[in-house]
Amino acid sequence: MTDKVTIHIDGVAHEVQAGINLLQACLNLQIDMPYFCWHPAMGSAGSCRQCAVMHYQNAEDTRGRLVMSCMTPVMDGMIVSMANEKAVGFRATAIEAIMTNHPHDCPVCEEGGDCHLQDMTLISGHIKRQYPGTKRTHLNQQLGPFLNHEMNRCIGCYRCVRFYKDYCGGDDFNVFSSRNRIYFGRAESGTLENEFAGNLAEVCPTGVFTDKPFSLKFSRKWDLATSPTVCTNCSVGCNTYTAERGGVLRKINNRHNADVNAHFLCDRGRYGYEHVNHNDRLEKPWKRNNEQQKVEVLNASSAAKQVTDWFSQGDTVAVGSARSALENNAALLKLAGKGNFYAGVTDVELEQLNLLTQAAHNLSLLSLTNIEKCDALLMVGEDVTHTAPRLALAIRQMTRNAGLDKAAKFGIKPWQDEAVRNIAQDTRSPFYALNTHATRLADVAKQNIYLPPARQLSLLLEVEALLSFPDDKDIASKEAVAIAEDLLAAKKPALVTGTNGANPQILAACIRISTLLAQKNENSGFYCATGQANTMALGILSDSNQGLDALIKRLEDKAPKTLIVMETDLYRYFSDDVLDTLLDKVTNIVVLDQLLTRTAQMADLVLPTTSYAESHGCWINAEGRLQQSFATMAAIKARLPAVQWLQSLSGCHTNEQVLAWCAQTYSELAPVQQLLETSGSDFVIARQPLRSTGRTAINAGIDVKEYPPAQDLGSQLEFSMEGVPAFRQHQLKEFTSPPTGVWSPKWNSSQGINKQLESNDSSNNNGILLFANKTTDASSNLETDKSAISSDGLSICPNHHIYADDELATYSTSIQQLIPTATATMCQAQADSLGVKNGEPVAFKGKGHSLELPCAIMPDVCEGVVLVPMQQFRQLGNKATLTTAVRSAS
Amino acid sequence: MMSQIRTLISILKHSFTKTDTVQYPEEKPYLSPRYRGRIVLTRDPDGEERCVACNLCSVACPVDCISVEKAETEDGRWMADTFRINFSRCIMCGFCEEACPTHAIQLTPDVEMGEYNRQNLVYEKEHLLIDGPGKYHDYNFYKVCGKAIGGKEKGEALNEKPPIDIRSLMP
Repeated sequence: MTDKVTIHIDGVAHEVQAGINLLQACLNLQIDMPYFCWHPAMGSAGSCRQCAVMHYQNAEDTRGRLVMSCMTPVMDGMIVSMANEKAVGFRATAIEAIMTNHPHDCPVCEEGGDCHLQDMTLISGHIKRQYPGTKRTHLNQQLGPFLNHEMNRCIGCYRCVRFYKDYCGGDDFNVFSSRNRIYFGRAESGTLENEFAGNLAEVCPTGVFTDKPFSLKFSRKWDLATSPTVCTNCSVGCNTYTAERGGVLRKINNRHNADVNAHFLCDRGRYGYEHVNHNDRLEKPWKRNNEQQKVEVLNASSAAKQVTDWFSQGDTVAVGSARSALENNAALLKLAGKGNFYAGVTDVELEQLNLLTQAAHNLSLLSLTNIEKCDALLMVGEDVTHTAPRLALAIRQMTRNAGLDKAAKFGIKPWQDEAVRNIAQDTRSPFYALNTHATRLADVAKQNIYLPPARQLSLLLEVEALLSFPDDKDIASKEAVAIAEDLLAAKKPALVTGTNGANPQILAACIRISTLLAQKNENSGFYCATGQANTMALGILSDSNQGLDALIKRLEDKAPKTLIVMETDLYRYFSDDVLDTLLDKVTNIVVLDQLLTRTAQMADLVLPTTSYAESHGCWINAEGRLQQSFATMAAIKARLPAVQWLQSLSGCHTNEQVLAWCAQTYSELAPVQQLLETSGSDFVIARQPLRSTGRTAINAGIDVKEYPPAQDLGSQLEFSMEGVPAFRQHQLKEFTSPPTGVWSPKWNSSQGINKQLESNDSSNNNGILLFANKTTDASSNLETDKSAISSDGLSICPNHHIYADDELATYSTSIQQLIPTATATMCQAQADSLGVKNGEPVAFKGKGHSLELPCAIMPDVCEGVVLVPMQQFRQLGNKATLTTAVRSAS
Repeated sequence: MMSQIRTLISILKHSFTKTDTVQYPEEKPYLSPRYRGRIVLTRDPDGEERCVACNLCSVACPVDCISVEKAETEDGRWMADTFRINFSRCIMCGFCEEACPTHAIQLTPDVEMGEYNRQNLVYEKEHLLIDGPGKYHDYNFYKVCGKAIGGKEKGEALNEKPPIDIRSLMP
C-alpha cells in the first residue's frame, strides 16, 4: 500500500499512492476534480463523465486523449492535464447536459447548502443555464419514515442503486427505464426494507433522497453547530457528527473513522437520536413528598445535598448504566464501592462480558475494517444486522473478497466496480451463519445453519475438536467439517458472535475456537457484539455476579436504605409484579436519568442528567476501542452529567479526575492515560461553521439583549463560531479532538471528506484500543454455568430487531413506526406440535412474570425454538418456560 | 478685501436659495419605491406567502439579524415557521432582498421605525407579512420550481413535460 508512483498533472510532478485511480489521487492531492458517480467505498462506475482529463502517451504527445480519471489507474510517469481546454470544455458540457433537467428547487430542497451537485456545478464553471427547453419530470414515491424522494432532481449517477443493491444487498430498490427517463426507486411505493437505506441521503450527490426527520426540523448546513460524537445506539461505536441549532438536535451524519464505520451508518444510529429532544426529558430535580402527596421541585444544590444526606446514612446500593459514559459509571462505582455497585445489565450478560474481557487480551479483536478484509467468517448465535447493524454491513463486504481476489488475478483493480462484479458473479468468501433462525445475511452465506442453542453448542464443540485434530472428520457432522476446513484454509479467518443471545456457553466455545484459530493463524480474529453502547465498560468495571439479577436478590434479602439508579430502566429487565414490591422496600430511591422512565417514576429523588449530546464522555465499543464523544450543545435547565451530580460524594469533580482514577485502578483502563496527557492545546475549536447565521435574532424573540455563548469547561470546543473552523482543523495535527464537521474550500457538502481521506487514515483520533497489548498467559477462566442451556425440549430464544431493541432509539417517532408487533415466532412444525395456529396466544413464564404473545409462523426458524422479542425475553429471563399454548375457543 | 466681499455676496446669495432641509415630521421627503427601509415579507399573486424559508436571506445578512425556521404544509409547500428580524441590528443594506430567490423579502421606503424600547424592534413574521406582492407583481416561485404542491402537480410548472411513465416501452 505504501508504493508510490509519480504522475504529472498539468506539468507538476506529484507522488501518489500506487494502485488507486487518478480521480482519487487528485482528490488526495487536494485538486478539485469534479465527480458524481465515484464513491470511495463503492469504487468507480464511469457513468457521469465529470472527471474527464487529457491523458498524454508521452512527453512528445501533444494531442492526448480524453479519459475519465475515475476509470484510469495511476501509472508511473503518467502525464495528464486537467486544465487542457478540451478537458475543461468537455466537463463543462457534461455538467450542462446533466443540469438541463434539474429543477429550480434549491430554495426548497433539504440538500441545498450541503449539496455535492451545487459544489460540482460551480467548480465546473456552469453558472448560467442556456437550455430553454422543457424539463422532464417524475412522480415521487413514499419510501417510509426515513427518506424523502424527489426524483425530478436526479442526475442519473447510479450511486443510490449501487449502494442499495450492490453494497447493502437490498432487493426492493432498483433502476427503471432508460436514458433521461431513468428512474430510481421501488417497484411501488413502500418503506425501504434495508437497514442502511438512510445512507442514501448522504450517498445521493443531490436532493433525490433526503433525511425526512431532519426535514421536519430543518436547518441549513451552515447553521448547524456540529461536534464529533460516538453513536450510542449499539456496541459498534460508529463515529457520528451530531448537529444542533437552537438547543434542538437536528441531524446525525456519518463521521469517517477508517477503523470503525468508514462511510456508512445504520438507520438506528442515524435516526435514533430523538430522545434528546423528547418531551419526556427531565428538566429539574424532583423530590417525592409522600405526606403531602406531591412532587417538590428542588434546586441543584439542595438536590445534591439530599443525596449526600441519604448517602451518609450508609447502606447505599448503586446501579450503573450501559447507556451512560464510562466516567459516570466509574464515578458511581467509586462512591458506592465495588461490593455495592451493580452493573445495569443482566447477570447472564455480565457473565459473558467478564468472559470476554478476561479473554480479550489473548484474542485479536477485529475492527470493522479488518472484518471487511477477512476471507472466511463464522457468525454464531445472533443476527448482527439487528444487534450491531454496521457489523453486518462489514460482513457483507467481507464475502466479496473471494471475488475481488479472482478479479485481481486478471489485473482488475478493486475499484473497477462493474468489472469486478462481472468477474466475481456469485464467487463469495465462505461465510457461515449459525443461528436459531434466518439472518438478514442469509443471501450471502455459504451455508445457513439453523439450530437450537444446545445443538449450536455441540456443533461448535465439533468445530473446536476439528481445529485441534483436523483429521477426525468421520466423527463430526458435515457442517462442522465444512466450517473447520474453511476456517483453517483461510488467510484471515474470523469468528463473529455476540452477547445478545444470552448464552455464556456458546460465547465460551467461540472464545475457545478463536483462541485455537489464533494459535494456528496469527491473522485470525474475533468480534463479539455486546448489548449496548457501553456494556463493555461495565464488563471492565464490575465483577461477575453483580448484575441486575443479583441486585434483585439483594433487594429480596435485605433491602438497602438508599438505592441510586443511574440511567437504567429496571422495568426493562423485570416485570412490574417483581419490581413494584421490591422497590417499595427501599427507603430512598435516587434515580439519575435523562428521561422519565418507569424507574424514574418510582423514585423519591430524580436528578436530571444530560444526554450524550450535552456531555463529554468516553465510550468503549465491543472491540475494546475507547472513543471520546464531545458535547454538541450546552446542558440547559438543571441538567447535569452524572459525574457532576455525584462530584461531592465521589471526590471527582471533572471527567479527567474520574479517568485518572480509572487508569490507576483498572489495568485494562491504563491506556486512558494517553487521553489525559494529550489534552490541553492552546487552540480553541469552533462548533459552529464559519457562516453561522441569525446570531443576533435567534433568541431576540425572548430577549433582544445578546448574551455570551455558553462556556464549555470540559473540552477545547466552543459553543460558538470562535476558534479554528472545521475546514482547517484536519490540516493541523496538534488537535486532540476530531474535526467538528466536514468542510473543504469550495466543497460545502459532506463529500468534502473524500479530499481528506488520506489524512483521516493516519489521524490518531480513531480511538484507543484497550486490548491491543497481547498477553501470553492464556489462563482465562472459561467456566460457565452449564445449566443455562436446556438440552432437551423447547428453547425460548430472543428475537432481535434493529428498531425495537434499543431503549433510547425507540423514542424516535420515525423508528417507532417500524417496530413490529411482538409475537412468539416459530416454524410451522413447531406450531403444530404445540397445537397453536397463527395468531393464537402462547403463554410464557419466567422470573416471576408471565405473559402471552400471539403466535406467528415464520419459515427458517429451527424446530425446538420459540422466538420471543428481546424486550419480552429480557423480562422473562433466559430460563423462561412456555406454560401453555392456549387454543382459542373458535 | 475683495475676497471678504465675495464671501459675503456668496453667503447672501445662499439666503435666497431653496432649502434642502424640510420640517420633518410635519413635512416628509420623497423616498423612491426602491429606497431601502423597513423590510416586509410579500405574498405571491395568488395570495400565498412567498417565503419558503430557504435561509438565503439570513446567510446573506452581514449582521446576522434574520432568523428563519422552516415548516412544511401537508401538501409539500415550504414556509417560514418563524421569521424574525432584529431591526435594532439591521443596517438596511438590502442584501437579503438580493439573495431572496422568491422575491419574498423586500425593502420598503418606510424608515420611521424609532422605538424607545429596543425589544420592540424585534419583528416577527406576523409583523413583517403584508398582503400584496410588493415591487414584483407577477413572480410565483412555485410555478417555476419542480416540487409538487397542492394545486400544482408534477409536470404542471413552467417549462415542464408531463411526468414520465417509467413502464412505457415507447422510445
